[in-house]
Amino acid sequence: MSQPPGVLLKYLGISTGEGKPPSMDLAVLGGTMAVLLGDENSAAEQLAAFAAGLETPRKGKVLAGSGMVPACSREGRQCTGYITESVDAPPGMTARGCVSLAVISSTKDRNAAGQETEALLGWLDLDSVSNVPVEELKPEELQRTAMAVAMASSPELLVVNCAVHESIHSRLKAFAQGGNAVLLRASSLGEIPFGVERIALCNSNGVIRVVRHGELLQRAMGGAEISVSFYPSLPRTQLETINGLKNLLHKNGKYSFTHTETVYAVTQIMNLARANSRVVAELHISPIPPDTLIKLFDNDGIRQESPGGLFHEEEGF
Amino acid sequence: MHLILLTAKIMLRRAACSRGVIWLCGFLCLCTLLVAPSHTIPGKFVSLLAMLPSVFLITGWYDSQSRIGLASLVFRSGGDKMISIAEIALPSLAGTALGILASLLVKAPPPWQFWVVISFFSTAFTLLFASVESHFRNPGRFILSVLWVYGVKTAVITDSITHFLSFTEYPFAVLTTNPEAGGFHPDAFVLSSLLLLAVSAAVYILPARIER
Repeated sequence: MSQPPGVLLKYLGISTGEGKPPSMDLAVLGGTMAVLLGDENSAAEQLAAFAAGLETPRKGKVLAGSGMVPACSREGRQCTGYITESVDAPPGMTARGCVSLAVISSTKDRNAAGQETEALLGWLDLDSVSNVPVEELKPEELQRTAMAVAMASSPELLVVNCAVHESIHSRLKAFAQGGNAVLLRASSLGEIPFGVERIALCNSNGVIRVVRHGELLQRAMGGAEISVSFYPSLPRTQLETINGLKNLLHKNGKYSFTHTETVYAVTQIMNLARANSRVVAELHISPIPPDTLIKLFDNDGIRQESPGGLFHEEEGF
Repeated sequence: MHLILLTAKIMLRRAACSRGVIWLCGFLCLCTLLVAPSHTIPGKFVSLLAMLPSVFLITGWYDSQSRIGLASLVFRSGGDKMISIAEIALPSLAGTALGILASLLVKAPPPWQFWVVISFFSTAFTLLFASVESHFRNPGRFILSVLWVYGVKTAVITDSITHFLSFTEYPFAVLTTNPEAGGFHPDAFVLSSLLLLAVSAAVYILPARIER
């Protein structure tokens, strides 16, 4: 009979800085992939560093592995692999050299180390570039090398602190399916690979909400953050007539808002400009940033059916 | 063992490719020739050669990509301790070997105390220099340089203050001291180098423990 999946990572009562409110507790189960989603001002990167044992929280505990040992302890580091977009290696060292060194330092059996190195290079399609110095590798090859180095100590948990290249999506999924856990850090919705179950939305204090991937996609489906300015300027009330518009802000003559149907919103902007004899001076469309995604789950920041009601804005027109 | 040998190889390769380090070693040799009293120059070179491998291998090592990369690759397996062992053992052994070879040219056979002093001194200097390079940087380098110049200028160690301050010249002093002419007994240098080793080990270990 198969064992139920165990918890392989726990954040308990941690605080990301002096005087900051505690982050929400989070546990990552074996066999699953989770994401810390937050922009560069959020604590997502710091939380990833806690899980990898590179930093220690001032308050609270981060426990890793099936033995639930502190992530920053020697045992904690041994059961965790850490992947970034680069591989720190001595100048001129090849991909094979890096993997081989990481494997040899983790095992005493030289023959087994050789076999394991070859297996890792083969599994990550690094055979053809195994003798190329690390500094000459392409970004995707570099990330696969980083994964091979991280896998050298046979970890139970992989912490990925960078945007994941497509070529390692399937490997991360296969790793998780083997009863292990993967924790990724992402700064936008587009960086989250397929197969992720849960997403921890992070602000500067830490995790503030955990949502399912499907739920997040549903809320943000086809959505974008749109910035627009008109010449001459258009009254705010005109913008408020666009259905489904959320988080409308007005600053220095520029409006920015989020909308779940980008094409519809852009069409409405053009219609408004034409109807009011205005020219669209500037128009930017970008993926919904994490802080706005958080607002999608926050009733205070969502415009309800009543127009002009609950806008999240800092100044009037 | 593989990791120790690999660290040694990478240290050697990095130092040999670094023009600055080679110039520094050349400068130290030239300084010894210019600053030391002429009759003491062969003996001063014994002390210098016992220190030179540390200067050659460790200058800039802690900030180098070679060291950072190596430590990063073995960090998860706890292999960083092996790197620390290698980066102390290699300069210490090389310094001891070079010091012994040079001493045979100066005074053969050297007194028995020399064998103890040279090995303690070389290890102590390596630990001290490694601490300076990894934790104390420029203030540490400055103090060490001043003490080294003071030691090179000293012809004979006859008083306690000079004995204490010119620790960089213990191998030279143990070879040339003459208790009958008012110099210290060679046994004093055995004790001093043992104390120097203890202090250097503390300076090397304590900052790392405090950081942890």
